[in-house]
Amino acid sequence: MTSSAPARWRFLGTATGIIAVAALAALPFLVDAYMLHWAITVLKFAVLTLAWDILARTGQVSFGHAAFFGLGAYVAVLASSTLGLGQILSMLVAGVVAAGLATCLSALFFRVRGIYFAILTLAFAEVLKVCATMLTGMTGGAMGLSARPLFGGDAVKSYFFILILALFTIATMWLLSRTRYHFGITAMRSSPEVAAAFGIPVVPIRTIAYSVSAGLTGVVGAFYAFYTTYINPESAFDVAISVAPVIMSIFGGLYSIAGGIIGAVTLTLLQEYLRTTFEYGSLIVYGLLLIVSILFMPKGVWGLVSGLASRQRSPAREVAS
Amino acid sequence: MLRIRNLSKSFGGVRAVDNVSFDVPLGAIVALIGPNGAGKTSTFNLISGLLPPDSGSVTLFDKPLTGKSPDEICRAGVARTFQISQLFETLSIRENIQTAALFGRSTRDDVQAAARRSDELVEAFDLGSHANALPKDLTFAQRRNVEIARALVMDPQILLLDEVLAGLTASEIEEAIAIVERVKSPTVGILLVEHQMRAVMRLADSVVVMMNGGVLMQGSPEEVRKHPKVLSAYLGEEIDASGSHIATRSEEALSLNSTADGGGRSVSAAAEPVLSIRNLSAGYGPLTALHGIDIDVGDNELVALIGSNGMGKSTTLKAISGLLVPLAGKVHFEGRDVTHLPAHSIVRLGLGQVPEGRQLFQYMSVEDNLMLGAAFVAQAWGARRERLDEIFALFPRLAERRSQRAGSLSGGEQQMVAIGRALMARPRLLMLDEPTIGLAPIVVAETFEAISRIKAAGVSVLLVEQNVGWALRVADRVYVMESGKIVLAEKAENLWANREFLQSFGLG
Repeated sequence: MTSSAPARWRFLGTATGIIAVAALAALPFLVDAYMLHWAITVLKFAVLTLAWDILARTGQVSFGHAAFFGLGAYVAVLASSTLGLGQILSMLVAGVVAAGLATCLSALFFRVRGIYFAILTLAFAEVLKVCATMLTGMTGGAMGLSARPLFGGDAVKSYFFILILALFTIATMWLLSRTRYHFGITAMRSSPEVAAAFGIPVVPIRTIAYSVSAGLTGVVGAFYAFYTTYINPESAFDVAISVAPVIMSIFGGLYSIAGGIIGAVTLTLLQEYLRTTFEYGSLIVYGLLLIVSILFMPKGVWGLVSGLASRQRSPAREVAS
Repeated sequence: MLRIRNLSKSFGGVRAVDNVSFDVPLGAIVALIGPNGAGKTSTFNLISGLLPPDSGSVTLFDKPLTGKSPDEICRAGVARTFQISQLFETLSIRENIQTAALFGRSTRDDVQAAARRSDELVEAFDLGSHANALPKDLTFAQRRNVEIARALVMDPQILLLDEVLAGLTASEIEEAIAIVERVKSPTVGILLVEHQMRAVMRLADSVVVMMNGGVLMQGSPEEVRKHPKVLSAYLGEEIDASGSHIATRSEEALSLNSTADGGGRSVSAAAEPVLSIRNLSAGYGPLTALHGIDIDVGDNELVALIGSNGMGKSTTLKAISGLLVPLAGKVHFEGRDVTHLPAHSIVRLGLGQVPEGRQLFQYMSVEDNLMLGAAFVAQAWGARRERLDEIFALFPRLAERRSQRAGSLSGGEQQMVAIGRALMARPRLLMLDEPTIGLAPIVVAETFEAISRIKAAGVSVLLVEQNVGWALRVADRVYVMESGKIVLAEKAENLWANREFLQSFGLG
């Protein structure tokens, strides 16, 4: 293989990235308020999905990221209303608290794996939901809490905040993929025992991944609280928040930045399109489309695309066999 | 040096490792041998930190390793391979080796330096053309090489090799021995668990024999080989080339009746083969593994299919049993075309299979595993109790362990369950895929003896086997495979005189 082919692909990637960032920066000045709202929603799900994928890459699948989403939402609203912190600072505090909680949970949760870990995370999110409902003095119980609108209701500023958060997440993941931790994480996904036998500190790496994943999810939860100006236990700890990143990752392509973005963009917009197109049963159509796509694209959209690309790049493979 | 002192570990009430002590000095090769279930792998897992010991200590140059986690022990300088090759399946070959370099003993390596060091090993192990391939595209022997290279790249002081020769053919074993000899250096101590006695005799400076969790004896390879206790507990008696003692034992055949109710069997026996394969081709995706092969198995005949790893032997069995859809050709079983029948229908017709690696239901009891063999075969289910008694008569040890969890049995016992499970369906023909892989010599002998008795009871057998010496002893006829083709079909007795053949399989 010549060196020009990978160089060409790298150039294409860089060019696409720059154009995409420029387009995203110009977007709020080109579209109406409705479209901007959907752009914000898409970015919100993109961060949720990528954050979830950070943990999934280590081989642990969470079905309870709503715990950190909801916790972030409540922490941010309370920090802003009772402690009088600014909104951006409140969102950061929410992220730190969510990350800290995940660090503590790691010691307990990483004793198990696979379906057992998934059930623990699912159950924990429900526990937090019950806590938020019961602690009426602090959280307002089922009545929920109101928050001041984010940036005084300035949707363009809100858009740039979530865009910067998304770019930060992407940059973090991309930089990580160039270090030895990328190999360590991929190895432990194959087999944590074997990975440990080759010197890879499995539990510390998983703990860090879980904390980063939870922290980012917490910030998104906080953003959601201020952006919608109202939260209650049902909406902040909604199981759908836990499930969405799982489905979006699988649809777009697991363990890849591009896959997570593709999944979040496609499914968020598809859901909205179907909701506005069909008067009844839009969720049924959505569900059927998901089933069909997972059956025919088990590696997701990105898996299909990169599979086709690599076949085009190395025709020698077919000749050899 | 690695010093192991009074190491003990119990599972439930069983003392898996009982007060084990020995040393692995730098520059030496120490072999750990013993029957299946003697505690060798448990000892390995205690040293490498996968299991915490109940008592005792492991020290490396007087630094205690006991109580440390596997990754800490690895970074302290103890690298290991795994018995069943466990490569990182989603990483390329180069990345597999590189990953170990990045996190191993010298964690200062950056990604580039690790890539360079792994490239050296990729070349040294002749894996250059596969550096960017995924593990699944490699042959069995190549995977073993990656497994060893991955441990070596960490620059370990102690290297633990867990049955790196299991499942290799004689010529592949020679290559692997050469690799271990090359790895040997004054700065590395090697501890190997191995059943291949030829390799142990050639490689080891010192041999530790384990039995029932404890150390039976330790000494030079010569001392160990002549020790009467080792002979009776592990190696078994020396068996002469003609395999005569098997023949005598098989005369006391059990009443293992096959599926057909007698009927026209004896009439058709002479003319019609039970299994007839014509021009069979099969493959995986774009890769064609079988190129038009012909095989016949006659009534009450034991046919062995031999050849190196990756030559298409297991693929042949899969294509016959319906687990793999053939690309071309025909498979006739008892005169009936079964080429495109689904796997479960083929089993119901009386073509049983014992898959490679046993594939037991680990969490089910021995009896339930056996019962399952008859559960979906109508003609076998009715007489399941009688059949079970016949299996227990063939393998008395299984009767003692009938309510134990299958996963808790030793390797040899698990193999008996796998064979028994296939026999429960009352097969007319039994296919066995490498039934003796990873078994102690004495258990290998027992297994072949059982196969001979099954044949003596009237079942035809198609056997895929790596151990050519044994295959020649028990088989009536032998097919040799090479690169997906049959290159030789001959009566087993004639092959003993074929010098060229014997030499190509390291028996000359």
